[in-house]
Amino acid sequence: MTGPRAPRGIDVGGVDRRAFLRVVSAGVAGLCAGGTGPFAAPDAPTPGRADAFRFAVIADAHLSVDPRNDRAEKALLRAVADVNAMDPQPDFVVFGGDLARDGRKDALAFGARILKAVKAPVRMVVGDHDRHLDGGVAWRALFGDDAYAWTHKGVRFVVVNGVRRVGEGASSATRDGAIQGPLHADDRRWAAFEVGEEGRARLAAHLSGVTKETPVVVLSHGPLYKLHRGWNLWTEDAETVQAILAPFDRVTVVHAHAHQPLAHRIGRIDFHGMLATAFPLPRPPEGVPPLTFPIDRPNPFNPADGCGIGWVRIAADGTADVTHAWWNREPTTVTGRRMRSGGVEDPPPRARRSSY
Amino acid sequence: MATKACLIAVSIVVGVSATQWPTGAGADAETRRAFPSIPKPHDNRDVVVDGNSTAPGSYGGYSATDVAAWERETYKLVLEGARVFHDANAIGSGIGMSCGTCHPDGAGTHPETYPKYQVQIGRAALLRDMIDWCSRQSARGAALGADDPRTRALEAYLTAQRQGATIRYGKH
Repeated sequence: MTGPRAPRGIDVGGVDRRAFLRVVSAGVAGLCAGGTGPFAAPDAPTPGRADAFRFAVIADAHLSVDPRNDRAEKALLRAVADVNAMDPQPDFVVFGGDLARDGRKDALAFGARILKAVKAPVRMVVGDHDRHLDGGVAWRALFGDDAYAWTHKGVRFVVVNGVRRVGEGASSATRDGAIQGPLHADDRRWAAFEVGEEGRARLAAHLSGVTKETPVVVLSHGPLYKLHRGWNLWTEDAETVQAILAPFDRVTVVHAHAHQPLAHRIGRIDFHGMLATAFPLPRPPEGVPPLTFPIDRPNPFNPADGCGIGWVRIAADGTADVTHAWWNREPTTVTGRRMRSGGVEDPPPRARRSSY
Repeated sequence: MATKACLIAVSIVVGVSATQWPTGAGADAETRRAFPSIPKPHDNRDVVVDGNSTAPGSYGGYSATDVAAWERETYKLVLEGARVFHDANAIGSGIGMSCGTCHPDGAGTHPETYPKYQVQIGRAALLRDMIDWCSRQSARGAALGADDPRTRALEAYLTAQRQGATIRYGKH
């Protein structure tokens, strides 16, 4: 037996060894077949007209290495198997952040190993849980810079760190170790998220020289708009960030963190919240943007319900259709046409069991 | 600010397992800071009977001190519930998940719909049955019996969070 092995000290054997081996083997096969592989280095900006293509999104895995967290682990393995089974294959897969439950190094490394099984290249976005213990040191050691950009088939992709905390400091590197304490979305002692001055400057730099006709996709863990401060579905410097994006004709922000589909449009910027793999979260009591379609309340007795993966199809004109591929439901697609029409076109299916 | 710095310092010294706020003295104050929107119990000053009152005193004439004590004790139980609700260690979660991880501010727990028949449990369930189920199944934590102080506190917190909701028992 010469197959891939789990990282030392991480027992996958008692959890779901077969699924682990299946996805890891698939990843190795993908690499041997000449794929660019996961965590590929971003390429240089070459703005132009888009060719239609699709990228997949996996987010909010909340892994730990404790075998009792097997549910989160199996969910991520399932997500990886799902994107590997996509036909045609997505051009790349975005991991939208919160790979680790509490930012521990071993959990991040475990997640990295699972994600290496993704056949398509993987682009990583940092989440608040990933940075929880050390401000992102372990995450960056595994995945590199948390803010970067590349151009793919005429579309400019920019990744931002949308989960810095207000008051964290000019550079997270100077504050490493400072992010401690209980991590609950509803804990009002936490400062709100922000992209921050440095992050905004980097976002602007990554968009400099990009023509306004070029479709832009921004990838962030935090929402980049203000939804519900009480649960930290909130980006404190959202308006300033949006001002950087405002000159462009077609901007799509793909974010995670909310563990549920959300849809919002501010000016010409579309915002899409994506599904989590680990667990769903309830609808926030306020601030749900009007373009968000109603969903059936997840069934707690089915851990897969309310979870899933997603993908984004970019048309030749840069229009983004976002699909939420629920694991326990029919997929829901939020079309770019719906977003532009203010919710008039392409109505989504009706929900039967709304939130309390 | 000093408290926050102190919390951080404590967390750094004792490591990951100490990433919850302290129990005992000071816990309630810290919980109030973390969750300032938890509603206060019903204002019962209208049952106070004093020399100037014409209230019927159906309870037999309680003083303002009595009523203040009721509020203090009730609110204390609710705050303890909020603390337990947001403390993975308190429910023995093996995976760092507290109740609040999936239910911020108690959302999606809808205590006003119990009792209701839960097909998956095979009986008419009370809120405490779901608290126990969630602790074991979702948080991979302890079994929480009906008389467990944690169960009682959690029930108090969840009920408080739904102040004003209409009771619709049996609703799915």
